[in-house]
Amino acid sequence: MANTTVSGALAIHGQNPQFLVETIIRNRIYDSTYWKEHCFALTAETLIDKAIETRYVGGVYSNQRPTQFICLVLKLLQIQPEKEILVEYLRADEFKYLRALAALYIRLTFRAVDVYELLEPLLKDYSKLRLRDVSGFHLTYMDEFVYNLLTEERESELEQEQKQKQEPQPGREQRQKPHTKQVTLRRWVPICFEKSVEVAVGLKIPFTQSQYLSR
Amino acid sequence: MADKGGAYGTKASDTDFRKKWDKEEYAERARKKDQEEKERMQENENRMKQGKKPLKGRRDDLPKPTELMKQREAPLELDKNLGKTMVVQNPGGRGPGQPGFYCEACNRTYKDSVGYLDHINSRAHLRVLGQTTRVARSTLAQVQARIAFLREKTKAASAAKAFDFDQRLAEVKAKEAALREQKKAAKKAEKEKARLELINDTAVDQDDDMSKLMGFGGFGTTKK
Ligand SMILES: [Zn+2]
Repeated sequence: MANTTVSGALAIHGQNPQFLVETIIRNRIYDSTYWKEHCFALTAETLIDKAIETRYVGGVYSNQRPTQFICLVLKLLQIQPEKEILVEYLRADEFKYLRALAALYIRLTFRAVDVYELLEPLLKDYSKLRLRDVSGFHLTYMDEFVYNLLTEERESELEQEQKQKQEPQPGREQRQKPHTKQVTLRRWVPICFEKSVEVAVGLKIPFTQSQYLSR
Repeated sequence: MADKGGAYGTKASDTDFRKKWDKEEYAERARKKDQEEKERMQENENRMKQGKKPLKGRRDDLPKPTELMKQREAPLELDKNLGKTMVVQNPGGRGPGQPGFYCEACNRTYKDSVGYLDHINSRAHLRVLGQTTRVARSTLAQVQARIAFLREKTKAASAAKAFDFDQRLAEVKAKEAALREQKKAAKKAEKEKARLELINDTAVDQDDDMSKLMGFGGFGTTKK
């Protein structure tokens, strides 16, 4: 059906991948016209066109209306494309919104090692991104967006599971240590993408951008 | 009533406009319907015996869907008739021509876009189209080809835009120059006209005096 996960999909973090999007937001997406009209029967191939057409990233705006971006994230969760396809999405550097979409999806579903390996190169991408949230439009950059993906707990109204905790990687414990703390502190961050500077500073995120790049 | 005549053998012709019913055909239809209903009941009885739920309506004999779920090719244009006044061609009937969104495949009309969208995404509608509810899996090659294609397309579009820009600048300049020339010419013509008029007026005035004196108009044209 139009809203079911593809059969044979692998469970992500022990559940239906679509459940990574909060129930309320998910139902709003299912009810939205964009979802019904434009996201119907999309494949990994036709989704590219839609992703290029999006004009901003974000979760919900104005009266909790879902953005096209978040609709496409849910679509990706639904059809669960192969890893190589997502890598291909990431490599298309001129289509920045496709790239951002793939980055968010990878952050949500991949193993920690793969997330870092795939997303770290994007910290050198300084292209501008438009961001829409409840308060309106904002300017952000790809490196900032990806940095937030790597460090923040909640992005774009998605319940991101603490997958680093589930799969501890040797040699990366140092990065995972403050994670539980992040969870508790960041749960109150109310609106998607709206990161609180105090929280970020108070946490002393152990890996800064310079550390990424020098590695 | 052996024959369809009047009481005294006269035939009423003033009621000929009435519809003549083909009674045979309708009787046949009724028989068929009864037969179908009977069969359905029998089948339901069999199902009941087997402990299954009875079937509600009659089943459509649609072939099994063979195709995968496909994206709609044309845009739906849901707001195509937004704000327009339309003539209802088929008031009170089923089928097309009713206000709302009409699905040709299923012969159903929906009052609003939400209902219509829900319908065309539904399993029943897909079944009529011969599609399953599964979507095709794209391969890596397909994705790569699509990205390459879109890359070329955007490149061509941006190149066209850049080219257009220079050309348009030149066009605008030329247009402005032409407009200025035109204005200038118009002004000049107006001046010339005013000057001519002035000359004519004085000439006519002189003529007038003369004509009054002589009792007739001047020679030649009176056009100014
Ligand atoms: Zn239909």
